[in-house]
Amino acid sequence: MVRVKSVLSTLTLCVALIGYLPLAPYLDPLATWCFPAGLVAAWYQQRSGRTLSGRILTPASILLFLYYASGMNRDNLLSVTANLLVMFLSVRLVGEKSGRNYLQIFALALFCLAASSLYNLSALFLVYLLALLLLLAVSLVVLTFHAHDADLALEHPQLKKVLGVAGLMPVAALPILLVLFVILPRTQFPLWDFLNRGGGNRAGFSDKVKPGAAASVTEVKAVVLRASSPKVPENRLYWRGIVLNALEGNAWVRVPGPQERSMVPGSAEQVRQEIYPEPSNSPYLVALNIPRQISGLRSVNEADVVFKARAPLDKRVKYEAVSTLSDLVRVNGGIDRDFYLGVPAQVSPRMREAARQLSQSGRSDADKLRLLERFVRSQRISYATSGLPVGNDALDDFLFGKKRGSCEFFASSSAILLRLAGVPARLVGGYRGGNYNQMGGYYQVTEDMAHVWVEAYLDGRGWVTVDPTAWSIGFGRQAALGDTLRMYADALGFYWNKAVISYDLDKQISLVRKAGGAVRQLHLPAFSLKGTLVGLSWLLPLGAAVLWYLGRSVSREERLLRRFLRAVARRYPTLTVERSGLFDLAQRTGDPQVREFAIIYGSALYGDRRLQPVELENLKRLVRGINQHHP
Amino acid sequence: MGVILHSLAKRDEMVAVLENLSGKHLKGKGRALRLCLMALLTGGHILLEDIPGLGKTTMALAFASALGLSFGRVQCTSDLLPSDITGLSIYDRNEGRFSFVKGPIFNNIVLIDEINRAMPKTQSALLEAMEERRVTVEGVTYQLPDPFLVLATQNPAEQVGTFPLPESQMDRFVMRTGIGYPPEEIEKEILMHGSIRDEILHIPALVTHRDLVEAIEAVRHQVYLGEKVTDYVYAIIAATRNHPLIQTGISTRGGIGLVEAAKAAAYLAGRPFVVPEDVREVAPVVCAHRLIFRPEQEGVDKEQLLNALLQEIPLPLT
Repeated sequence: MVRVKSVLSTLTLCVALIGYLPLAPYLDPLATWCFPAGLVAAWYQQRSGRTLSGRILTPASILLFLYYASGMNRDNLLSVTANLLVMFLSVRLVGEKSGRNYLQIFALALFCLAASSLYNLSALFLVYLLALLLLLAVSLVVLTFHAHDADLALEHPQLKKVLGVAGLMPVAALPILLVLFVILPRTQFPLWDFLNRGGGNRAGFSDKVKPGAAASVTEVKAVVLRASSPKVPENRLYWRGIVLNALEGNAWVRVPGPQERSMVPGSAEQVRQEIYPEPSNSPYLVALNIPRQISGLRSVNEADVVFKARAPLDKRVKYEAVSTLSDLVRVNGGIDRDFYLGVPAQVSPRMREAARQLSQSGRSDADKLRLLERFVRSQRISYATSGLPVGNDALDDFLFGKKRGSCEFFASSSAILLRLAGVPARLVGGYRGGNYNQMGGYYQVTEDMAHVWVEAYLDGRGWVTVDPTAWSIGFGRQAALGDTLRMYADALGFYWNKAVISYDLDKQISLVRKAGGAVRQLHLPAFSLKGTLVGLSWLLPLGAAVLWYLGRSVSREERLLRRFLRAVARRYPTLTVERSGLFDLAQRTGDPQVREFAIIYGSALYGDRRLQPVELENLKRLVRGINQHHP
Repeated sequence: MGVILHSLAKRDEMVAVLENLSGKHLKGKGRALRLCLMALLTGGHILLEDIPGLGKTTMALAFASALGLSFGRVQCTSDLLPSDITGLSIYDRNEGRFSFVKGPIFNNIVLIDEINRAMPKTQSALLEAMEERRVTVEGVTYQLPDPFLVLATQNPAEQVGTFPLPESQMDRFVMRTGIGYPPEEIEKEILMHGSIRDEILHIPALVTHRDLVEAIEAVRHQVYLGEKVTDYVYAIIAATRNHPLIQTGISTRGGIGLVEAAKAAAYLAGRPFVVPEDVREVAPVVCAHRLIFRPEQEGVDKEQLLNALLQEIPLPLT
């Protein structure tokens, strides 16, 4: 016997937890810790049967409300609401529970989940939502039992039946869900995004490089873009975003440059990518270095191979890019050398000296570039993202003092040295690297992969890509050992965005068409045999357990009957065994054994009594007899 | 056979009567005879709906003589009065008082020919007698003999000058069936040998009155109706009540009739318990005439619909 009350309490705790979990990362510490405490208290109360009276809880709720409401303003509306919801939920959990209170908890949990969607609308939300809907349906059914009789207790099979039926209800609603999915409009943003202060300043890279501004660089793992593309050699994974062509004080900035007729050679390997950037304020379209063409979005191709979207990329979009995996941009008709030779007003003497040596011993630009590499390598500078040189003389300190720095230092100092030595140079900002998701067939580029490198103009060739950071000690991106789970989760999120958030009907139709085609050409990848075996080795015992479990509930009478029907069907193949009665079969077969079985079995079944052991033996003998007739 | 069933009182005798009649005298009428016997055993009445000349009267006569029962016959016309059936009091000059002369209904087996030709008043007097098993004339109540079976016939083809029985009255008959044409071989044989009416009058009684009463008792008390089969009967009734084409499904009286007929079928099959097959066997004849269709669906064949319904309901096997 199971008491309905304890089932309901457990379900309620689960419901509350599912309401809290998606909201947890966005809560105040008070609310964050109050809820687990409330949960534990509620669990303890459920065990001990004690409850806190409303005389304590109601004033507590009012105080909490006043505390949060006092700090409310137009900007933190959402966070106050979310915190209050969770606090109320916690308070409600420890209070005494009547039917009304349970309903309140369900509603609060649902509101909490809804509030979480205002922060973040990821694929995980769907998981939470489905789990909550399922639990709520079951809980509501159990609640009706509880409301009918609070001390009701159910047998295990009865309870199983109730829970099973209750669980089926949301499943039955799934078709409606699908219909609604097609009909209802959907949003690209977290709902009511305006309630969140300062959202969207997630520029993947800055359009200003100023080494020495901060002592460390924070590495944020946030995703910047995902690009479906074939796999590209690791050393070619440079994502070009912006070109910084001028110096403003000590900072590299982008100013409208001189007109030049850049041309990306089409001879080298071409890579086609489909890029899904995360929403941001930056208008620059990122693609593998060097992009030849970007389509699918209205954009301007600027003279220095920088693609700029006409509209801001603050919603989910998609564009296609074709890139040449080369390190050369040809320029027809030459460049405005003076423009690319500008240097900062203040350059340390040591740097000037280094540049002078470059220009003296280097006969050509290419030579100077080689000498620069030798120089930087000889300085034995290590790559670092913390403990960076700061101040106006940061670059000097970087090259000759601390000898540690990030890509900004390497690129910036190298470009300045090149310019001082008379070689036109500019910085290119973008990303370096990417985690390839085997499952989804796409690269995931995160914020911490932001990178700056140099393009130097060599006469007769063009803009040549140079990555001075590669000359450092200890640079070399740690191979992204993406743990499998995270990869799967990210792939799920990717498809969620692709199919749900930026959904449109045409795309959906073509997806279905493609799926049809894909099924036709389905071939299993090579590693799948092993995977299948591993999967089967898990599934088979599971299936066996399920079968055993199902089989257990079948009475021996039922088993016997099934054996009998199978035997008859084998012996008289022309007979339709389904939907005919035992005596029917006896009459139609004219078989005395079948008739005898019908009489013995029927007299028990229709006489409302159980089969005697002797009768069971007899029946088994008869079934054997029917089977033996079979040739 | 290897299985010994509890012997049911007089079951073998009853089956012997059926075999004797359908084997010797009434070839090709086995089913109708069996149904008549079942109706008799349940204490109900039977309505034979068929065109004239298929041997309804012959069958009823043979049935009565083989069971050793008295037989009465009423040919209905539109001017038939209730007293023509029940009987009436006549002044006896010798004794100087009125004495009651019993009508044809005071017989064990009464054949009411073309019941739909009688006017409603007569019909309802008759149906009342069937239901109550007694007749009240001029304030005196007379008990009808036991066993008592009314075999009413109705001609479905002729509708002119008739008063078709309303469905509510049809409900009083436990079964309605047709006789149908005999199979070709048998009909040819009948054609060669001519009518057997004379022969039938001399069929000796095969059972005694006492046997019959015992058999009726056995059907009522020795045949067991289990829970599973009750559920099955209820499922059928419920299905007729919820069917979209049917306005009024089977009444509780109809359900009782179904159970009793099934018991009789089980008795004749020699089983002391009812099985779903018994119910399924009798359901079309017991239930079909009780269904009232929605006005727009009147053309649908009742038995066909019922058979379709029965196909849908699974027999309880576990």
